[in-house]
Amino acid sequence: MKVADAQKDQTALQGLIRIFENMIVQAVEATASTAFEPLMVIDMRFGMFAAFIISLRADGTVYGIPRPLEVEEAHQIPATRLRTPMCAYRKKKTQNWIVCSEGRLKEKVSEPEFEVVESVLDYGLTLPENDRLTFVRLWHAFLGRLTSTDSGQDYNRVIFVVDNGDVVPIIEQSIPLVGEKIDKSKGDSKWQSALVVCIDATLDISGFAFLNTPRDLQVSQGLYLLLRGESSAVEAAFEDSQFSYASMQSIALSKYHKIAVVGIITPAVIPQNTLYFPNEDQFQNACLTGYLHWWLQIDGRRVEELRQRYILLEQQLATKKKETEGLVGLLNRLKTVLQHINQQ
Amino acid sequence: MQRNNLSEYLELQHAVRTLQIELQNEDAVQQQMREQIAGLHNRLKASFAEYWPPLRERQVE
Repeated sequence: MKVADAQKDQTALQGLIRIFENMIVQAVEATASTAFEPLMVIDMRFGMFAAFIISLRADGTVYGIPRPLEVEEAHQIPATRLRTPMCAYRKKKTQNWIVCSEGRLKEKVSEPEFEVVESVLDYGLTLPENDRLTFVRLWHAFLGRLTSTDSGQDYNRVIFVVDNGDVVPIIEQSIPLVGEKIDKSKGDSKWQSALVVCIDATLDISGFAFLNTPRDLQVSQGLYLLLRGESSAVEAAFEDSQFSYASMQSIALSKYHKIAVVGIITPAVIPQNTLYFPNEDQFQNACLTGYLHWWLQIDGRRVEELRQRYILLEQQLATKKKETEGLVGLLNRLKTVLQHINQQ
Repeated sequence: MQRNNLSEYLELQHAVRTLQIELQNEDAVQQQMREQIAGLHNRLKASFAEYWPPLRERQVE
């Protein structure tokens, strides 16, 4: 074969490879765009505050990028933290809360001119109904710190994750007030349309680590194996949008769609249907991201629950407006009577 | 289908939040009116006390 012919073939081959690569990228993008938009997640479970962006890799797998928070450490030293307790303090009779570490909080506890809060959400629950503004200011102190380095360009939606259902209403009620302060947008704030997801401490979400690509979510049923320690094998069965778990005595590896291994050994080669998590933290992150990913595929039941809540609120508002009309009538009658008396 | 559900959910959520704020505002208006009514009621009682003698005195007469 002549050299020129060989070069031609080479060029043609490179062209074909580029076309093929382009097709793969388009296929991955098409898969991703049907089911996934990047999310800002504010995880407030276990009394801690952590934020991260969930995004997609080119292969369609989901991953989290931490978004650090700046807090005031002991001796007033500023420090950046990926996960921090929800502590804050302020000088009494002032409005500005300062987000701080536990160490800094201990310093401030002994100073009587300061007011301290060990857990922002617990404190929010103790406030009376008509004092939502205090919580809003406190809440804004936290979220404002987070967004000081945040342009809001790398996510489309915000999700708050809590493990106590009682705090859901106070977060939901404060979002409209805090939202526009955070991204300074009027009427179209990502924060104002934030979702609040409650993952109760009793809810086992470990199976959701298996749902870590948009394609995984399209399945209606699956059988997975979780190896999370040398003597622990748990079968996670996904059916009708729910996971159920069973401990396994004997294992037939071939029957599982996927196998997850958490930090037991470092396999030299990871088999195709195996997810390997080097440590428990990475596994927990995968569980949470998988769960949120699944949660966003809002099912009809959740929509119906929210619709019922909307109808109830509409009825409550109608009743309240009738009450207000009654009060207006009473107020006017009293004013008329008093006018008559004063004229006599 | 799932995406439609999510957008419907977000719309409903926005509507729920709007209603919650309206309810809070209505509560605040009612609270203000109740305070005004209480003030007027007290003034009315004072006016009655001024124009009519106490009930016990009227019974003695």
